[in-house]
Amino acid sequence: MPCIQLQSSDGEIFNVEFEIAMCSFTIKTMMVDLDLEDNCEEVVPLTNVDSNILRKILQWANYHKDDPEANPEDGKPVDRRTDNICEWDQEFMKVDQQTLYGLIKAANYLDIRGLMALTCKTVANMMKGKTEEQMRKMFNIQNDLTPEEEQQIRQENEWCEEVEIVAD
Amino acid sequence: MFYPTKMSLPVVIDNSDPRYIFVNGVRYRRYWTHPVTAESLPDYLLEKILKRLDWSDVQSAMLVNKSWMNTVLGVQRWFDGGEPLSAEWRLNVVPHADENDTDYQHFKLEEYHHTLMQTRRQYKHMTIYWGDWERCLKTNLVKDQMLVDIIRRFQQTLVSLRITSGRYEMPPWIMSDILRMCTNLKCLDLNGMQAVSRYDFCNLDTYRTRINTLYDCNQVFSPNPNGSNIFANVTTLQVKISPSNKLKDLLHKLSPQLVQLSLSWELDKKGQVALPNDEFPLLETLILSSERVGPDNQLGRFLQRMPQLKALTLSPHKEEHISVLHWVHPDSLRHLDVWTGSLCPKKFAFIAKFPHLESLSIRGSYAMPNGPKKEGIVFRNVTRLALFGHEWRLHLNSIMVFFPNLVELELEAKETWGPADARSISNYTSLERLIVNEGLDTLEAFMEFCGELKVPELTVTTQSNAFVVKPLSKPLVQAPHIRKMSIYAYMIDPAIYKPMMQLMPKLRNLELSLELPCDNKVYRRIIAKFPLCDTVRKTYQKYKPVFDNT
Repeated sequence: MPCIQLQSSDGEIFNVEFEIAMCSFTIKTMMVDLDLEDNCEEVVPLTNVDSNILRKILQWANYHKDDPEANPEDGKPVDRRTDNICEWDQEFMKVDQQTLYGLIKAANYLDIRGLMALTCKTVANMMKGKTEEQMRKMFNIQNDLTPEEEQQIRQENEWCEEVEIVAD
Repeated sequence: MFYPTKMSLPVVIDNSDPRYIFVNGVRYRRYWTHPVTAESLPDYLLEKILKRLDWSDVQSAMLVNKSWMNTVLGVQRWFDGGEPLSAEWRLNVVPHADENDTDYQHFKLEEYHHTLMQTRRQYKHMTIYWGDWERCLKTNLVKDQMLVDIIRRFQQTLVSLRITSGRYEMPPWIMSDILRMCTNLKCLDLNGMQAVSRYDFCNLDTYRTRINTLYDCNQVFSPNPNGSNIFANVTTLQVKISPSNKLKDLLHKLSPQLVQLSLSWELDKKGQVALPNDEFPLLETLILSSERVGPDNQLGRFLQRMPQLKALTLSPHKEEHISVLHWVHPDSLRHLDVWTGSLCPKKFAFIAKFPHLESLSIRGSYAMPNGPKKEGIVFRNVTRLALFGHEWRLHLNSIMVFFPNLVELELEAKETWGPADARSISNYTSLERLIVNEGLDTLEAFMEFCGELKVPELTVTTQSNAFVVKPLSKPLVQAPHIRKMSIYAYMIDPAIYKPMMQLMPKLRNLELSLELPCDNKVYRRIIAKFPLCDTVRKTYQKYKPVFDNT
């Protein structure tokens, strides 16, 4: 099985099967652009991903290597379903918040669509049914809205409703 | 993005300061070096997460802090051409509490005006109640100006506009102004408007709007047929033909371009309707919503002029005739909604004339004297069937023969749904979705019904409370097959959720569309208690089947 070497931002080198590394569109593009496809000696540095995160990602990619390729999401209405997470993924997502956000960023940087969807769903599930105060607490965020701004948001929200998408 | 060169690049961390790395001996700052928190997530990633939330959660997320608010409002997105999360919200400007309480209206409109003039939101959809200020201290002029101001504020983004006028007769110059300033307007709904003197928009005749959907049953518009171009892009039209205004010019002008037409009418003195004599070469959907009387020949010829007709909603006839179907081109029709009164074999044969029918609604079948017996009729393509009326119970098993490939079935009942109903419904093995209208009583009775039901998706609709709360007379029955449930109702008693969901072990999806929404506390308890089920609260709207535009 041909391999490729990925180097995390903290210098660790991972020997990764080609097929698994290809789940990342970023790596795929790199390989094609730089014509690295039959050169296993190359080390691809991933300066934005540290070794912990990269290890997790490879674990995920290994499990999902046989999944059908996801289409790009741009332009389509986002599927709001967040319940369709398989059990392995649910177990996999049991990580601390720091790792979770690290995974989101890395999945975005490496353009791994399946993992991007999974991580976003997981965070969305954490937010469901929470008040703003609970959300702030959960994500450790300071409120910097002035009372007037808050009032304006609340008032306008009261006047708004969600509409079914109208055909153009 | 950082691309490696063909050389192998050794990356070494700077031991004296771990925020830096050495690549080929050059020191670089690492992309991120501090613990990643939610705050450090870039906007576009936060947006991807928020897009998966429900409306009520998005509302809370806006209040977290400034940067989250900006992300939800998508301030950046309006400039880069993307769709922000807030794009699918409808703004309701309804400065109207009580007809006698005019000062309140005034105060309320000032509030709208004040807030909306400084908002950073960009609305695409808007509903305005115009109202009459005759008895108000301020004049109508003040009110008109304020409302026009509000519309002008969103003139670039406004795509759909619904105007309700109450008893107020809006001066034509306002409408003309609105049409000129909202250059991106696609959908204009004037069904709530009163128009006594009609607008002849002479000054707009050469102006071409982008409006493609016009709802104007009150005949607000009567454009000049020779010159008018304002509706050059309209493909969906909802109008009413009356003896005083036959809309001949309008329909003549638009008939070649219309794709969807909703038509209602008032009869003239002879009991006739002046239907247009034009060809409708592109028309795919026709919805008739006024009662038919007398012979249908004229209507038949009207239908015959629509060679592309795919969907037809036929209004009831006073004597329950449906023979007018005889005129419709049989090959193109895919969807039929028909009011049959009783469903006798003869009428059934009329419906059977359409070989490509995919969905069928039969209404008002209060009596099926003989049942739809007709040898050799099979609707192979029909995947959706709706039966409205209360007499289908006796015939459900015999109807099944005609529809071997049903996926969705919608039924209505006055009496409570029972296990026997569920058993006969479950005989349709291909069924994936069942919609039941009314007929809900206690949870106990409902669970008995669900227990026998083998259909995975169930939608329940009712005008009143979803269940009657009563003490149990015996333990509740388990519903082992239900995977998805949607409830459209006025409200649900909080005590219902837990026992119901506990007994639906396969439930993965619960949709609540309640007029009185399930409050946050209860909602959170449900989520915590049933993590496997995705519970969604939707903004309340009445359940709309595929064909119910009456």
